Amino acid sequence: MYSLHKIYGGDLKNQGSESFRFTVKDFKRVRGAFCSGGVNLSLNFDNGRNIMLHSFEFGKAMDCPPNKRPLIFDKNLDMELISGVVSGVMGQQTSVYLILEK
Amino acid sequence: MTELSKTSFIIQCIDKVIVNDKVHELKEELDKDYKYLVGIAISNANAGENSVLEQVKVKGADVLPEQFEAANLMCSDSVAPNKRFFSWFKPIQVSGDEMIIRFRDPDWAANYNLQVQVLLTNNLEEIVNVLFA
Repeated sequence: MYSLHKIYGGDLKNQGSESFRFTVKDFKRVRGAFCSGGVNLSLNFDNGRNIMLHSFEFGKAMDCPPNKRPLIFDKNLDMELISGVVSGVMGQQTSVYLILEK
Repeated sequence: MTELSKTSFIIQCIDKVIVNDKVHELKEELDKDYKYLVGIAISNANAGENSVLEQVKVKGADVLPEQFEAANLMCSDSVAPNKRFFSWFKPIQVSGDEMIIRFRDPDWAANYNLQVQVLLTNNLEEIVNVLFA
């Protein structure tokens, strides 16, 4: 079964761009990611060696079913540092979520 | 493929009138005849798109991360009713437990009725197939 984790949450400062880091423990796989609508997300795995997303734009997508909005993938994890950058309008309240599996 | 009409489920609706831009607490006991909470939706007829679920708890445990954007649980009327639920969280085992939702709409301009729709089931495997199909 899935577990939902917020790996970044805050107002976008620094000209609308914020970086984040998150260490995954106790989970074996990541099944997907999503973030607030209207922002771009870059996401790196394997301590920065594996770029999964590079400035991927997440739309607001209200015509899309909520379960279909996350970007779905399947990646094994082992005590991994996940890092990334989220960018959008300065001051915008933004969150980034990972869907993890034990 | 499993069809929603052939599974055992109930959609429990929790309503609250939102009267300002402060936090509103919704509390309701979940139907004791159902064992799992597997989906949540918000009727978006009235709530602002910047609304936030400060907390969603059952039995003291978080169902969703704190400060979860309500827009993640909302969709337009063009989405089929049985596809309007958000289910990317660990199914919560329930037994008539109380659900507590703390909701805030920073863009509130006039009173409106907020409806949170909770999908409960007894058949976890079948309903998961329906939700993610």
